[in-house]
Amino acid sequence: MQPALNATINFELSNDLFIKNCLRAVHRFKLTTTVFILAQKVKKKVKGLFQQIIIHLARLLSEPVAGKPPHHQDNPERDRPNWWQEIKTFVTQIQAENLSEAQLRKILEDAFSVEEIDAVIEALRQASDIMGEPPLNLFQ
Amino acid sequence: MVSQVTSLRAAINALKQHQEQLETQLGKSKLERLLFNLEEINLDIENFANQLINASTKESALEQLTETVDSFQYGSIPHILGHLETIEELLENNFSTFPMPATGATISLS
Repeated sequence: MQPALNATINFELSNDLFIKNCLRAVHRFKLTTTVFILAQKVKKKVKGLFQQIIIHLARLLSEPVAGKPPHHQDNPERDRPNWWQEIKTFVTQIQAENLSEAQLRKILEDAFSVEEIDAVIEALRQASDIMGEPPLNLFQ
Repeated sequence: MVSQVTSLRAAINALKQHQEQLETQLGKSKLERLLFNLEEINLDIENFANQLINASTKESALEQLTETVDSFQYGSIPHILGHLETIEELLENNFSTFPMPATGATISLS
């Protein structure tokens, strides 16, 4: 009788352990999924903000930037300070994600070519010059 | 039932057509700022529409549609919200001390 009882106890113990391990795996999976979803959101947000930077740089410089033509050119002289303020906000929002240069480049290169990214960096430098402010650095 | 299709572009054009009349109520500077902010919103919406049309004709339509929607959701929507907040401030400031024609007194809406 004794060995049979032990076997039952062992089975229950291992069964309990099995459930605990399952729960741990489920929690880990949930955590991984959450981190993945958040990372995807950051990627989408950064790409969207970068697109807005391109659009507004083209408006401010009154010339195409990374293939985007300038729109809204009724009175660029008057509207430049508005666009510049918006560009600075977009850059700050990207910087707030605390990505390294390598991480940021990797995300951007998923949607933009290296040439387009370099063109934006150059356009940011030109825009800073025009607005008489220190160069705006996308990469911290 | 006949549906009437209109657009934000048509609304901006209408505001521009009645510019003189609106300037007397809003002031030149505020009206210019109102039009600027509406134009910025409209350009985002037009851009979204053009990208959707463009994507629908491509072989990789689904991928491009996803990119377009993501870009609108994460880039354009916050941008549009910023301009809407500015418009709200513009109009609130204007109407918070709206003069009452009969007495010349002002009424505060805040």
